[in-house]
Amino acid sequence: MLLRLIDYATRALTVISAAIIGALAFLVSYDAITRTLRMPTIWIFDVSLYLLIAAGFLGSAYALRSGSHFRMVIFADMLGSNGRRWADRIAYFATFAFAAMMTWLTAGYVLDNFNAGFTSGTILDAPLWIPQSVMPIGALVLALEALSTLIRDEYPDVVEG
Amino acid sequence: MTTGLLIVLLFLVLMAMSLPVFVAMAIAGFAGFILAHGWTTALYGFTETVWQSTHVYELIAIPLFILTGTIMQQSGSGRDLYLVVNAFAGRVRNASGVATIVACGIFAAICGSSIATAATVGYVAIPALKEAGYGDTRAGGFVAAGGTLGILIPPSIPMILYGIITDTSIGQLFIAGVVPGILMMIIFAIYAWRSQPRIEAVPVEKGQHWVLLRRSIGVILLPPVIIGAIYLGVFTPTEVGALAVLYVLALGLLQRRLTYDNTWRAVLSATRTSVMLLMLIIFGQYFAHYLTYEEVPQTIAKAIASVPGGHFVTLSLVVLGYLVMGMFLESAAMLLISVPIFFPVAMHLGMHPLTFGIFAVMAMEIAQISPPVGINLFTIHGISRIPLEKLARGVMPFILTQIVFLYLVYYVPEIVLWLPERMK
Repeated sequence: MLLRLIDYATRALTVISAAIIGALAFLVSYDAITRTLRMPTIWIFDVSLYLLIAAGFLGSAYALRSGSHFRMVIFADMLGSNGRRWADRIAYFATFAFAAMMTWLTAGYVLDNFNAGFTSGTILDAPLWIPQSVMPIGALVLALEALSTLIRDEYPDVVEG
Repeated sequence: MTTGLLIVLLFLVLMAMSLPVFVAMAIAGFAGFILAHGWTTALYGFTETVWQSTHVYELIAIPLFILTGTIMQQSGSGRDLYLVVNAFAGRVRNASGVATIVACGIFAAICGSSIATAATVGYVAIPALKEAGYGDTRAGGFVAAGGTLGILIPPSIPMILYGIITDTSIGQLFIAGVVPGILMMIIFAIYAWRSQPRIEAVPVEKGQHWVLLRRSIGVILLPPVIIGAIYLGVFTPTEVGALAVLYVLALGLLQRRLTYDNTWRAVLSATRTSVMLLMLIIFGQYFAHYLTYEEVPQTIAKAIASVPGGHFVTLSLVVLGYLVMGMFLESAAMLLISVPIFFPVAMHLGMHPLTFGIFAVMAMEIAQISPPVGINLFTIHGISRIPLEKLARGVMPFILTQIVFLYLVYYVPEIVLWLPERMK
């Protein structure tokens, strides 16, 4: 049940992240054309950067699941299949611990900025907590995804049953 | 300083334990800040530094150029490109080999990644080369090496990374890559042309040339437009990336080659690579922030520069450092780790930031095809099942050429600087 929930969360963030990457092409093109026509927009510059940051943090769990985060596995592979299994365990556990810590730290930071009412200070002047909230959300799902991979690898029977 | 070196050691150990590199960078940097400032400052500083390092508008160009490449991959543009160049290569000696290199060069001028270039062209070129009798070693070697042109001929993802790390103009870096990129493509093509044994070309049917040209003209016209727009300063590299996505998307839809399914596959593939790179950049900047605070790069730079023997020896140490790193690291990770350390050395050697940028990108090209972990070798192995040993043998002549090029760029920097100095 828990694993299925994590699966849904990772999938949902994957779709959001991918949709953002696609949308960026249209937003930046629109900005380029309006700027050339001397009718620049005031919001695309900020929004597209915030969207990119969101795509990065929210897509991190998907990158972990698809094995896209770069790892140097050459030494682990030298130790044979047992060595590789241990290396995977260590790698996923470290990712889990790091992402859990990051969730806690970034959530506190966002909460502080929310309470203090800080804004971006740019023309758009967006409240900072809105774009920043992708950090704790992305880190939380990354931590859960790492945990779920650890559980799946350790207890494949439980998951299948 | 000693603490700084210990933290570098910790980072290397974590990386060797196969942690994702961005996690290793984050943990090592965080441990360093705790030792330097204590818990409270390290805890608060973490989020602040991470948030600040995301604030680089040029980062947006990265997913855009990756997406351009993945859409082209899905729409079969690589096939058109190879077939048309092959047709026009006619009866030239080893025509298909030469065509492979040139098709890679043209594709490289649209997309900014070596993997995408090698995979897209290789998908059609390798079976064709093998059928023509080139053998596994030569066929794989041509595509793996030709693919590395993807990051030297603009646009180029590594140049964007380098520009962000060193605060160098990305537009100028792109233009600086044009002459060395074309030169390298010509040398690679000459090697393919002269390589033994000689393979006779099979000429295409009469009139077929024009059919193939008509089919691929949309792709062939794109490189001059991209490079021209950046050279003339009409659009920024990021804007060019976005417009290129729309262009290849429109082209694929007009040619009825893109469906909902393969477009979504292209977007997902671009998302995976972009996220991986973004995390590496953000936490790489965090780690670099710590290293700079401890003056680690400056100390290593001084140590390298103080080795007796003059500039040639210093330069050779940098080249050697890159060759060793390239054997174990993926190129983006290598760039993020090496540039903060080698940039001060390059400045000491009197290199222009643009020249060193091209130098570093060429070093990355070597890393991408150096065994045992060269990513292009794995890409080609994945699409063709050619054994890695044969691929490693096939790329050797190209690696040697690239090493000579590293020295050439240092001693004749005009190759790099001539064109950007004429930019608007």
